[in-house]
Amino acid sequence: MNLDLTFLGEVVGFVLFVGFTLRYVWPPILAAIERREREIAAGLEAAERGRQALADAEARTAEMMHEARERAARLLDDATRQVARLLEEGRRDAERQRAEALAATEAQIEQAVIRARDELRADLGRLVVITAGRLLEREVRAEDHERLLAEAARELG
Amino acid sequence: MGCPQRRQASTFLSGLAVTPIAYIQSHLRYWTAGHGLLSVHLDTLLVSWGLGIFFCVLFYLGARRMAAGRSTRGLVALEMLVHFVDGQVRDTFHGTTRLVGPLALTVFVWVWLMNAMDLLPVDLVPRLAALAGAPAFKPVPTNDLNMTFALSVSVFVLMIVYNLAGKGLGGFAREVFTKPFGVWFAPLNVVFRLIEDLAKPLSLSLRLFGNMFAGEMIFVLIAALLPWWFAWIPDLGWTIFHVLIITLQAFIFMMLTIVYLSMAHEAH
Repeated sequence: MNLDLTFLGEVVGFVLFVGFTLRYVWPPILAAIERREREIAAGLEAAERGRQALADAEARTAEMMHEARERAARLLDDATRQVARLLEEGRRDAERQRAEALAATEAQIEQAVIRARDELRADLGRLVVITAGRLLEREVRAEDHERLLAEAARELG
Repeated sequence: MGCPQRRQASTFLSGLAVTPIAYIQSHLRYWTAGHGLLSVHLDTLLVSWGLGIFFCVLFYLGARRMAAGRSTRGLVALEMLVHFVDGQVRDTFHGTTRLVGPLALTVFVWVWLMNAMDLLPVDLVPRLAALAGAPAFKPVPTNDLNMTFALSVSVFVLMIVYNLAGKGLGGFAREVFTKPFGVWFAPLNVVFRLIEDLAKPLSLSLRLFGNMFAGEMIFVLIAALLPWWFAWIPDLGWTIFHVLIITLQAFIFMMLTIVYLSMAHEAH
């Protein structure tokens, strides 16, 4: 159990193994670890960027949806107003046409009434002359006939 | 051990017949070549160098594959180990150094591998060595003071180097002569410093050696004193417990190496 040359052999071995580790083992492994850490950091950063981009896109989508909805509402509003306007116009047109038709009909009726009255007047005149002739038992002269008819018509008018 | 190998190497069969005392003693002998101060423990050297080369080759191949961008389960484990050691160094050692990380990794893995030889069945390696002609064989290099002192004395030399590198010769001398009691107690300060600094490598090596010696001795005693049909039960329990001990001791050795070097590097 005394110390002997084994000690020196182990010191030499220790120095050699530490030197080997220092030169050939430690640097590449540490470099690999650092590279891995950089990759992980880059990956996390990319993920963060992706998340940000997704949030941006979502915000833009929401904005676009909002705009589209607003435009749709505006279009619907316009259409509704236009329909109302067209309906109103149509109604007014119809009313005007109805009024015109009514007026025309009334005028026709009036003319028909006037015509009927004129005819009635003429018929009545003739009837009166005929009746008067019968009463007088003689033929009314042609010129008197005409004159009486005209007078009767004037009086009735 | 004082006595040369009087007993012939036991074979698997004849080994069963020896007395407990002889059996235990056979486990205390190193495979020695040479005499006195110029002798070497061939078993300690063979196993420790073998494990050190195994560690270097394994980690070198792993590092090359990792540098090439490959990723397998083994490489991830290697990366975790290096990352763990690097974290310990960064937490403890403030200042820039290229040496402490690789040093700590080597200490941890090499000591762990050498400790792990204790998990092999206690008679397996000695018997195989005996078949190959070795008179004795202790398969756990950290169960040899030469091994643990080689580590701790190397760390001690590095402590001096880091003292000089961190504070310069003047700063180091001032610290030795004036701390902790001030300049008027310089001799006392030097004595305190000597005790403090010498205690570090001594405790570092003796702690590891003591743990591994005791750990193997338990295995030997279990094998020596209990009947074979019962011995496996305490043996299994102690093996499971020992997995923790060898890892803990390797970790402690690594941590104290880092701490001592960082204490040497920074001013008190």
